[in-house]
Amino acid sequence: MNTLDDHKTLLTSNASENKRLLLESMQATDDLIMVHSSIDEGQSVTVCYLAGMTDTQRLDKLLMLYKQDKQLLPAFQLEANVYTVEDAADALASGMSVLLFDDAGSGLVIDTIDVQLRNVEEPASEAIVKGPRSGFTESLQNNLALVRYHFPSSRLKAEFCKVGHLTKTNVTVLSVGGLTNPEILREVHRRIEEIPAAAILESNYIEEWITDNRGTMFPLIESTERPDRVIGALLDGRIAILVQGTPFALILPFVFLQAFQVSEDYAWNYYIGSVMRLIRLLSGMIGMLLPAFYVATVTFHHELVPTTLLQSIASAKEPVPFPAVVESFMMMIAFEIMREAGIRMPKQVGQAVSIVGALILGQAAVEAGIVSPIMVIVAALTGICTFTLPPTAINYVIRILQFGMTLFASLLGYVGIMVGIIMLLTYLASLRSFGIPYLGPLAPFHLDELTDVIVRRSHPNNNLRPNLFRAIERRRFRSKS
Amino acid sequence: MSCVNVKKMLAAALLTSLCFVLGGCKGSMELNEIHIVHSVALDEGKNGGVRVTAEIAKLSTGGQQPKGMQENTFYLTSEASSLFEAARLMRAKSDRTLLWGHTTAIIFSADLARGGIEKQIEDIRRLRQFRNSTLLYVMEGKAYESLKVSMPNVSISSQALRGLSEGGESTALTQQTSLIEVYEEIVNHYKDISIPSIEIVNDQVDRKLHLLQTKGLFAFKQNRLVGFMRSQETKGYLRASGEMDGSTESLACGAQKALTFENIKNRAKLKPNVDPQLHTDIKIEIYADLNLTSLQCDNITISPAVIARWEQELNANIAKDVERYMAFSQKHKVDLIGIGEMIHRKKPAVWRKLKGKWAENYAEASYSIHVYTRVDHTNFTM
Amino acid sequence: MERRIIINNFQMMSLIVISTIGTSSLYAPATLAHYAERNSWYLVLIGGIVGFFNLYVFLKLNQLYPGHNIITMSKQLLGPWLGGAVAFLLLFYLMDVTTWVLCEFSQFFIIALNPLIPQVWYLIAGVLMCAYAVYHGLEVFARVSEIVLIVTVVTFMAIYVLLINQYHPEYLLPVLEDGLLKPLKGTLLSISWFGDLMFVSMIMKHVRLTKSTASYAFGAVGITLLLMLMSVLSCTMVFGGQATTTFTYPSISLIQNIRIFRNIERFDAALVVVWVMSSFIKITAYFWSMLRGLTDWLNLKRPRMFIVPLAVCFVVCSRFKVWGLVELSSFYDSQAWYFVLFQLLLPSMLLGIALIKEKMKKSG
Repeated sequence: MNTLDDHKTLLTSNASENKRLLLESMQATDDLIMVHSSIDEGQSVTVCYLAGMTDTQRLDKLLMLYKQDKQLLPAFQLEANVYTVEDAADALASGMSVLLFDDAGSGLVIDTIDVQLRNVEEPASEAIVKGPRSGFTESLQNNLALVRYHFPSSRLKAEFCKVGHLTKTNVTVLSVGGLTNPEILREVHRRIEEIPAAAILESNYIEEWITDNRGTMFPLIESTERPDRVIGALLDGRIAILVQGTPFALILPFVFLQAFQVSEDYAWNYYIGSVMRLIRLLSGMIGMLLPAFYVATVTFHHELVPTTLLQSIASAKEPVPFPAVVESFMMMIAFEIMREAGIRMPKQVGQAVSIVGALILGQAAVEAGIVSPIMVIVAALTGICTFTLPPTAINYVIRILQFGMTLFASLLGYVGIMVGIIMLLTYLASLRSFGIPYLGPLAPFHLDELTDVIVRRSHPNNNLRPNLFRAIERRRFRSKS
Repeated sequence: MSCVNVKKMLAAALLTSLCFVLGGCKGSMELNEIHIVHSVALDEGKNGGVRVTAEIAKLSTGGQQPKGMQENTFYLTSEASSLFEAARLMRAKSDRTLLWGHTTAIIFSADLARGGIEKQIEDIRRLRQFRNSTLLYVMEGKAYESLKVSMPNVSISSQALRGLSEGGESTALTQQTSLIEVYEEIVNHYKDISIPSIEIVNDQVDRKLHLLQTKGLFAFKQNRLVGFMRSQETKGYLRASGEMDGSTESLACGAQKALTFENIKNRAKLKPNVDPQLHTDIKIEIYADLNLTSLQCDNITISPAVIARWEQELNANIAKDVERYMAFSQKHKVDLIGIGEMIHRKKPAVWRKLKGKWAENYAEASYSIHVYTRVDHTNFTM
Repeated sequence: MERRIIINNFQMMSLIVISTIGTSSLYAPATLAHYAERNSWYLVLIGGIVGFFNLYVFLKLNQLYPGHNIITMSKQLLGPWLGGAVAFLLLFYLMDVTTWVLCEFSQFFIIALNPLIPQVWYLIAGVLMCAYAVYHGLEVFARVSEIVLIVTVVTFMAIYVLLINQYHPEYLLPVLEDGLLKPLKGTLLSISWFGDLMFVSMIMKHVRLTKSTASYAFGAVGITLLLMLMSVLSCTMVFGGQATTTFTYPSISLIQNIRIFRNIERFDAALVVVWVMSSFIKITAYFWSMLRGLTDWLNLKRPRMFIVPLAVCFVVCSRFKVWGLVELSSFYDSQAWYFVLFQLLLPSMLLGIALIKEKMKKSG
């Protein structure tokens, strides 16, 4: 038996031997079909493919064509020839058909994959009002095509690699030549190559391996379902990673303030876009701090509320037996449970949950004297606020931080909240995403870049790319003057 | 390495928060554990002590709609040698801790104020809870009675007291005076202080109905109450100090008929002058804009000449008010406008000589009043 | 070999501004008014001018010994024994100041917010966040300081602007009625506040030097001076000279005076924000300088090991240093020379010796 250095077995020129080896290598799986046929005079091949995954009609057609013209290659994979049993098995496993030539000791791989996948749809997690609506699907080829379609440029560069020694997942790294910083690109490749994982089933599998800080709950890499967001990022000098089998692409480097941006901002007039961004920032802050602020105010700083308001809060709070902290934790947890239930439950019962949630937790709980109406308002507003943010992981992080902040607030009032905020800021300032400070243009402070992060600049005024991502080409266009 | 650190940090955080939680959230106070004090009355107690009465809101439970400031109130009283002590002793009668931070108004009884209010004001300022904008009033008689007057519209009298203080903007019979202002003046000595008076009156129609009324100011020498300024003096004072916004002026025309004017703008210019013999002469110039609001007189056609005559009469009227005030202030030797400080700012050298005997000097100062009114508008009808 | 720590000019500027302005501007008006009543702005000006000189001393020292902080500098300049002793004194001072500031930090809350919460809690909370920042190092808290600078300056500005209808400019008159010299009694105090930028001598070697570094540094003192002036002026203009003296924290009373829409008042929370943020930067800056100095003095290999013991030590020291704010402020008041000694005199002396040495080298 001929073996290579890396324990691969070469294909032999004996047909039955090849079949035996292949079958063995494929764990004698039952859906492996091997048909012996002759193409030419004297030459015969074994056609191997996996049942159910292969478009047999297409295979037939291709074989017919192959008989007529041996040079017919476009229908086949680019690196069509395989020489080892393992490579053939891998090709089979990923849905190809393999033609094993009886006396050549090599095989030909034909792309006949036929799997039913989703069509291009509007992304469910990132809905928009204005702007392109197509979203990524599970097919890597299709995703790459989508990016290419929206960004038809010769400078767009795609680099393939396979990650995961079991799943051999196809991963594509996208960058723009002459724009993306090559050092960061090199670093990305280095980190991807070093992934020792067995299986890559989703883009998060990669994210957790290549992130700068594995102990953090903040996302240091962005993930998105939208091709236009990927393209926008590429044009800022960032790098995108597409992973086979998931509609979520990774974009890196990622800074904190980008969690408040959506691609739609650029589809609207820039005033509208700016206001929407500010609203999102504000609601992010409210989402994190409102319950804490409420708890601190009603337990420590009664003097600071306008008298009339305090009077109202006090009489509403009168029948409630729990301390404000406990009350707020109850409501916050109840809201999280409802939200989680809303995602998991079948669509048909959706109505039921929302009615039960709104009525039982809102109205009835107040009337029963379990929570005060003010607390319901606080919890509801807090909950709604986090929904304004694009669905990066920051969303979830903010919800978790809510609890921490509330705890701090219940211990030391406003001082506690401030200590919490300071520690959070310190932590955020210590994070880096591929060497880029996580607090973005805020710290280190760059006013000119902040104007396209906190608000948005008009397109004609947006000539300079953010220096943050160390793009090589800083100017977006050549101004006329 | 990072993983270990995270674990360590988590453990540390957990430990600290556990310590805090087990320590019991000390210093915190749930809303169910406090009573909100809305207004405070201070009376003279026995043996030079002070008697504190607090108006506290009752909180009604149940019902979805909180009532806000329409709740009912109850009163607690206690007496001790100092204000702080009395407030603490009040806790013995109350089922909850009292929250003083929302006190809207403090009412001193005039008797207490005659003995000096500096001590009380100091005590109140020393406590961090009281707001700077807490309103001050002085009342002849028992101050706590004013809290028990039920106003027709509001059930918490602090609301009434706040509302009444704002009335000064249109009547010029009272002036909103806040805690911080009084404190500043007591410490700075830039001028003598005045605190609005509050009194209980019977309703003119329904005799049984008691109402609160703010009319007039009490004048203080340093921190002792020395005199009461009636409507006219109050008006004159507010005009001369340039703090008047709106008021009414009227001119008689024939029997039982009058012209009424609405004051819309008032500006005062004071020019104190000290001659080498240290005699002070004060020149008071008042510029006022008025609008005609009521014309009861017969056969009058409004013409520039008529208006010029009215202006003359108004000038005399206003000058009389100011004169009344000046006479009052010189009699009681209170410099409510701060003329002394004006001299100080302008001529520090002269002031050094005057400083010690300013009160006497002021009482003997000569003054001249010049009023310039304008009537420019007659509202909707000519 | 650790990675070289570098911060930029703006970060240096914000560190200087915050650690000088944030804490002192809350009570400075009261103490200064104590000396000069309505002319306390004059003291601030004098202090600011000395502050510029103070900064110049440190910049010059850094120019003469680039890549050194004041600890290593004095060791090199005065030899291992004498220099070591001076370094120890400076270290002791840094440590002492850290505890002073920590103490101030907690006292503020006891007076302004809630006297029932034990002081130790505030101390622990304070030292916790600072130790955490020190653990992450200069670069990180320098970055945070940029955000803090923006928040602080904006808050102060907002306070002063919202009070605009309550200012009585005539309260400032007469200007300097007692002449130019009499109010100068309080100068030392004013100088000692501006001298808080002393930790610059420890961070200067980490600043990425550009042409504008010096102007950024002087700009920082300028901003500090302006903000301090504004705080003193607005206190005087709202309350008057004497009344300002009687407040423990005039700025709190100032902010309590703000009323918008007639009924909404008590924005004390803004002050809590400013106070926590600026104290954080100040304590951290001193803490870090102290740790850095200790590392250089004893040639420590793993300075991070010392953070926790030092933090505990700081809490204990701060707790038992003084009994209350009265003692604290009277110490600041009467012993201002102690601070000025280390902030200004000792560094100036070092500079003098360095310059003489330089000259001797040139001539010899």
